[in-house]
Parts: sequence; structure tokens; C-alpha cells
Amino acid sequence: MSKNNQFHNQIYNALCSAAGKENVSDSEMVLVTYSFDSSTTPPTKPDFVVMPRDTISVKQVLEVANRYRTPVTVMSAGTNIVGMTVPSEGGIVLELIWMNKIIEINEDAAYAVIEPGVTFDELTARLIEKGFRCQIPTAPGGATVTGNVLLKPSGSLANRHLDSLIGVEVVLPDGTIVRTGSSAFPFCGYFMRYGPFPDLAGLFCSSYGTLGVVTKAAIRIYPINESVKVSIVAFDSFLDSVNFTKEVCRGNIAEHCIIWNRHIYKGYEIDFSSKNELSVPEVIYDDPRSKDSNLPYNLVTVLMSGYQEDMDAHEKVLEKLSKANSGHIFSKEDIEKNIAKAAESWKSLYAEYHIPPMDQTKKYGLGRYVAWIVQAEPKSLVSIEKEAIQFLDDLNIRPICYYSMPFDYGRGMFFRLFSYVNPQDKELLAKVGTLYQDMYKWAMKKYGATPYRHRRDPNNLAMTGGYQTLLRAIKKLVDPNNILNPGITLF
Amino acid sequence: MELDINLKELERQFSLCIRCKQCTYGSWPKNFPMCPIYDQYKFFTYSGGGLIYLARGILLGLIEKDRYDEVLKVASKCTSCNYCGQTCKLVKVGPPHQNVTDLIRLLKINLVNSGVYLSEEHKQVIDRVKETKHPFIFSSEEEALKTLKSKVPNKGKILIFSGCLTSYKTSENLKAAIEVLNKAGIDYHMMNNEWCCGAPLLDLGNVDGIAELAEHNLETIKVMGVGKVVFLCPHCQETFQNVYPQVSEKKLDFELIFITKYLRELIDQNVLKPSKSLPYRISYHDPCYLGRYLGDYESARGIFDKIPKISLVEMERNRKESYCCGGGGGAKFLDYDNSMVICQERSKDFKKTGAEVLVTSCPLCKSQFRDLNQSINKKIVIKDTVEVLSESLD
Repeated sequence: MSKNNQFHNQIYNALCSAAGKENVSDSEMVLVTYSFDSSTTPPTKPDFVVMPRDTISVKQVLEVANRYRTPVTVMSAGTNIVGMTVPSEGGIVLELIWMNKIIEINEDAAYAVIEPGVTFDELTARLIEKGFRCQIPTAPGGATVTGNVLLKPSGSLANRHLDSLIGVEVVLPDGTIVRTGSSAFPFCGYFMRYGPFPDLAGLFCSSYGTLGVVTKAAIRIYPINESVKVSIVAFDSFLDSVNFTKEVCRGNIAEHCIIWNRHIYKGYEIDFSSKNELSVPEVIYDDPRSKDSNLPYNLVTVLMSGYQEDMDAHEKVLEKLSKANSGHIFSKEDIEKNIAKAAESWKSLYAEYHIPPMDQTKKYGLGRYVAWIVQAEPKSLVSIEKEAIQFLDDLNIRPICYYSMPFDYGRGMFFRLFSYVNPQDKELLAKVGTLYQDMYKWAMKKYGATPYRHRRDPNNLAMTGGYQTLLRAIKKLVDPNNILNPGITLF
Repeated sequence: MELDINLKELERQFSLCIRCKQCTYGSWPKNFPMCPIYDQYKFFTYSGGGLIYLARGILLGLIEKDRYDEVLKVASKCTSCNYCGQTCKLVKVGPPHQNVTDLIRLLKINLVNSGVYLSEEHKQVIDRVKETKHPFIFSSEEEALKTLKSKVPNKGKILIFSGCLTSYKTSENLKAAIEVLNKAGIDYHMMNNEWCCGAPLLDLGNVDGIAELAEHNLETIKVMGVGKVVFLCPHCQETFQNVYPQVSEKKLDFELIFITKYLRELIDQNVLKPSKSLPYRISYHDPCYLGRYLGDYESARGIFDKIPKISLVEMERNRKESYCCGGGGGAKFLDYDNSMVICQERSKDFKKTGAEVLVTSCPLCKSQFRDLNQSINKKIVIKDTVEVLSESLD
């Protein structure tokens, strides 16, 4: 679309009326910086970037987009590494980062209502002041809470509730404003996700901005308990680690636990401060399954908190369950000697309830992050782990990192396998891409595992039969002109 | 920063930014806005990460050559405050390991090397520094400077490097430095033919002229045979320290020290004894180049500690998280209005403290606040740290 034509100017003027001139840009320089991210997704340039400040502006922008059949790609902070907010050519990027008000922290009902631009650093700072905490992801502190929660996070406290979403306010493409759960009723707050009617909040999770623009989210918050502890338990097999995490979750001993493999927990020891060369522990180049290493195959972080009396009892049970699954609690000396930096980071993340600065992100300096993420039943996951590592090993890739955790008290398990590949090695990157696609098919067929997120592969949804039919019908109903994020190729 | 790196060599680093925006805000839990241009323009483009994305946009072929001036226009709003350079640990991991601020400086250098200028004035300032060895157009200031310099003892092993801004725009700082050093009975020199250090050229993206300036200044210092150079401007010291070794083969075989650090040492040695009470409240503005570039946050505060009855009230954003005055990185030359908006934002921090005097240690910061005074009703009283110390000496 030529910028000089009348059509462009009409849209520009309409967007300025909707969101305020200072919040709209069609400057070439601005557009370029919203055309790509750090992934290999090919760049596509939008025609406009709009930063609305309130729900009414969002509504009006969507009405303009609908009127002119212009695609809209929604982003909150845009902090991602897999191309999820690379826009559609010639459309509008709707950046919600400046809708960043924390509207309510309801201490009585233990939920917070936030706008989509609120970041984890902002929310955790406010919650701590009030003696509360929220689910924390392994993402940078500048990532937004709403963006994260709508993508079905794998953060702390996910063992019990998969995500912390209670309700949303969402603007549909035609401008209709919808509230879900208890807040759908007049005069009612967001305290309950489920009302007397179908739960619609879930419709907007993992829909990647294709069904509506979320302008408010209500999330669960949790009081900071009297006593808190992060224990680290060592295991020499993934099977033992999985069984242990199931038992500590189901026994309500752990608020949260995560299984980390050797390459990932030793990755915290990489010295990024050196100016010229990274100092990487040698173990990261070994086979992560090797038994001759003095380091455990897995470490499991176990977050426990509660009254001191509970904690004393829980620690005893933890020790019992560790032993029963052939593990042992890592002592202070073990931690100091082997994983001091990892322990420090886990302490901030899980016991101090905020994201340590740059701890997660700087590892991306090792190369292009390439991840394969599935969810499966616990027993299946044990087999998946073995074979998946072998697939990567066959490509001579290092490091081979993964972390895994139970969801919903261990009914399902999450598994994120990843490495960092030299971005200049296009051949290897392509090979990994193909391998991962094959692995998704393999894991589903052999072990009933599902992909965790949409990977821009339209075949995924096509496999779901009646589910796809219903979802497409809903999409057609709410977004007949397909203006919302068509570039993500979900529909 | 390594000066001779082309954009292609920086591709790996440019591709590392994941848009986490930690380059724009301060440490948890306060999360203060820190990037002066992101704070103002709000679009990601105007941030450390955004400028990296623009550079990557050039490499990806998304920006045509005839639009490079637009890239330079955005980059020129950056004040090189070095907050992003100090904070982002991710981008620095990739070779050749430049920090975010350096990447922005290198973007400007590469654009100017390819013949892109922002305006006629941009070119004029560069030409003026190369021709006259100073960035300003002078008239009567030269005479005042001569009068001041007549009080310099011109002996001993110490040299005071005044810098163009101190000499010609904030000469009261130089006057105070001369008074203090003379009261302390220190022997020192000043150059009769001090040339610009070259910092403005670096800021304006032109580095090829710095070598000549460095050669002259270093040769003069060598001939004078001094062992210590005391700087009155942190921009000059940063250029000597980080740029001269790259553009000149002459060794910096002398100690480089900033005036506040040197005076603090003299106080500790009882050579200087601030004894007059100064019963007023001050707030200290940390200059970006003294703090985030040279790592000195405490020497000025150490001086205030020794002055009877003076009361230091800190601004919310201080030390490593001090907010820029808007003047650095050539922004004062290239986008004056933008630099004033940033200065106004910083002045709000000062006003919140309730202090009566804003003190700083950089002539550029001082000139920024002084310029701001021309457009505000309630004027800010601005002093240099050395002026405050001078008042306290008998």
C-alpha cells in the first residue's frame, strides 16, 4: 500500500481520531522496528503502529480496522523470541504496553485486575508491598503479565493451577466489549472464573490475538506465607524425578516444583561478564545423559511455603519422598560447590517472588534459541525424554537443555527441550526446524503428546476435527473479516 | 568501545535484542523510567533496543540508503547516557562484545562515514572543530579566559585540562578550580594551546578528526612532562581514556583523574580544609559521563560530607540510576529541543527534593540546566561541585 495514497491517509486520520495523534505512527523508522523480532521469522512491515491508552481507544481502533479491512497484530511488550508478534504486511500493530495501570489489588478475594501493558517487574513490586505474590515465569521482568498468562505459562505455581487467569475484559473485532466469568454481570468483580454460563475466558487463551484484544485481565494472587523455602533435590534418573514431583504435588507438600537437567542447571554458571570470551562449564559440552559425571542427572527445585509448623512437617515428608524415589536433598555444601549461581537465581524467582535481572535472557547470547515444547501424561513423558535427547544428540547439538514440571497436580506434564544454535549456521537451524516438526508428529503418534503452542503450522489445528469446526465457526462469528492477526496462520 | 567496527560485523549483536526493554527502566522494585528518549517518545524505536533494531533493519535491507538520514535523525536523539550500556547484559554477550550505548554510537559513526549528515549545522560543527579545534563560535570569551589563566602558576607536574565547555561556556567552574587549587598551594599547569578533546566529533559520528586532536594534546602533555592530568569535564576524560588509545600511538603515560576525585584526595590529606559553613540544602545531579562511564559516584558526595552544615538531599533517581540532563551524545547540537525536554524531566526530580541548589560536576549538565532556566519561571540555582567547595574555603 503506497503511503501517499488517499486510502492510507484516511486510515491514518481515523486511527489518530481513535487513539490520539501522539499514539499513532506511520513513520518508516518506527515501522521498521516493529517488523521483526530476534527469531528467524521473515520480517514484514506494518503500515501503522498504534499505542492505545484505554479500552475505548482499542474499540475505536478495531472499528477502523474493520471498516478498512486492515489486519491488526496485537502485542503487549513484544518480548518473545519465536516470531509471535511479527505483524501482517501492511497492517496495524496494536501495541498495548502503555495500557499499564494496575487497576485493583483485591487483598480480600486475592486477585489483581491489570491492564495488558503491566509487566512482571511492575506487578511484583506492587504485590510485594502488600504482602502478595503472583505466578512468575522464566521470562524477563519486562514481559507483560497478561501476554504471558494468555499464552498458558509454565511459571511458578503452575503445578496446582495451570495458569492464573480468572477473567478478562476483551474487545471483539466489531468493537463489542465483553467481560468473562463473574465480572460479566453488572456490579460484580472478577473473583470467579466460572459463572452459570460457559467459561469464555479460555477462548482467549492461546488464541494469539486472533479472537479479540484483551484490555484487562484478572489474575490470581497469593499471600506471602509466614515461612518459605526452596529445597533442591538431586536424582539420577528422569523417571525418579517425575515420580517425585507427582508425589510432592499430590501430597500438597510443594507449591511448585520443576525438574532441571544438567545442561540447564549448569548453564547458570556460564560467566557472561568476560569481555571477550564466554566461560562455559565443560559439562555443558558432555552428553547430558552421561553417568560418569559427578553431577546429578536432574535437580528438582521444590518451593514450599506456609506456617512454620507446616514447613517443619513438610521438610520431613520431603526427605522421605526424596529417599523413596532414590534421590537426596542437595546440602548447602553441594549447592555452594556445584550450583551457587543457579540457586541464587531460583531463590529470587521462587522465594523472593520476582524475576532476577537478565538472568534468563542473557543465555540467549549463546545462540539462536530453538525449543520444542510438549505436554503429555507422566509415564509417556519419561519415554519422550529419552528419545528426544537422542534426536538432538544425533545432530551433535550442545547444549541439550530441558525443564519439566507437573501441571494440575501431575495429570499432565510440561516438557521444554531447547538448545542454542549459532545463528550463522543456517543449515543446522533448518535441520533443527525440520527435526522438531517430525518430533511433534512422533510424540503425538507414539506417546499421545500435544504441542504446547501453535507453531505457525496450520496442520496442527486441522488435526482436531470437530474442535477446529467449532473454533472456525466462532472465529467467523466474531471476526468475519479476519482482521485479527491473520499472519499467525491459526485460521 | 572499538571505533573501527562496521555494521556487518555487529550483526550477531544486533540480533540478540529480545525487546525485554530492561534498557529503558531501573532496577526492581522501583523500576524508574531511565531511557530519556523512550520516556519521551514511547515507541520502542526510541530506545536502546529500538536503535539496535534500526541498525538490524539496515542489515536486513528494510531501509533504503536514501533514508539513512532518517535513521541518523532517530539515533541523534540518543544522549549516550549509557544507561542501556550499563544495564543490558544480553547484547554484550555476542562478539565483538560492544555494549548497547556503544552500538548506538557505532551506528552513528557508520552512517556519518557513509556520508550521511543530519543538517548543515551538523556538518558545520564537525568542520569547525576540525578547523578551529573548538566546537563553539567565540567572541569576547577568549579575553576572559586569558585573564583567568594568568592566575595559573604554570609549574609542577600536574596539568589541568579544562575542556572547551568549561573554558568558554562555564568559565566560573574554571575560576573556582583555579581559586581552590591556588588556596591549596598546588603547583599546576594549564595549556596555552589546549585543543578540543574530540568528544563532540565522537558524538556527532565523525571520528576521523579525533586523531589530530589527540596527537596535539598528547604531544603537548608529553612536552610539559606532567605526571597527572586533572580533568574539569568528564566528557574529556572519557575521550582521553577510551578513545585516544585507539586513534593515537602515543601512550597515556600519566595519571588521569577527575577534579572532584582529586580535590577529595586533597581534603583527605588535609591540604584543603573546607571550614565555612554553607547552611543550605543541595541536591546532586550525577553526570552520566562521570558516573556510568567513569564509575565515579562518590567523590563529589565525599566533598559535601566535609563541608560544614551543608545538607545533601538525594533525588529519587541517583548514582547508577541517575536520569540524564539531555545534553550528551551530541543531542544538544543535533536536537536541542529534545535535549531540553529531557532536562525539564530531570528538573522535576530536583524540584521534588525541596533543595535550594542543584549541584553537578559536569559543565555540559550545568549548561543544560542553565538553558532550561531561560524557559521556566522558577529558576534553578545551579552550581558546580568545585564552586561549592570554593565557597567553603577560607
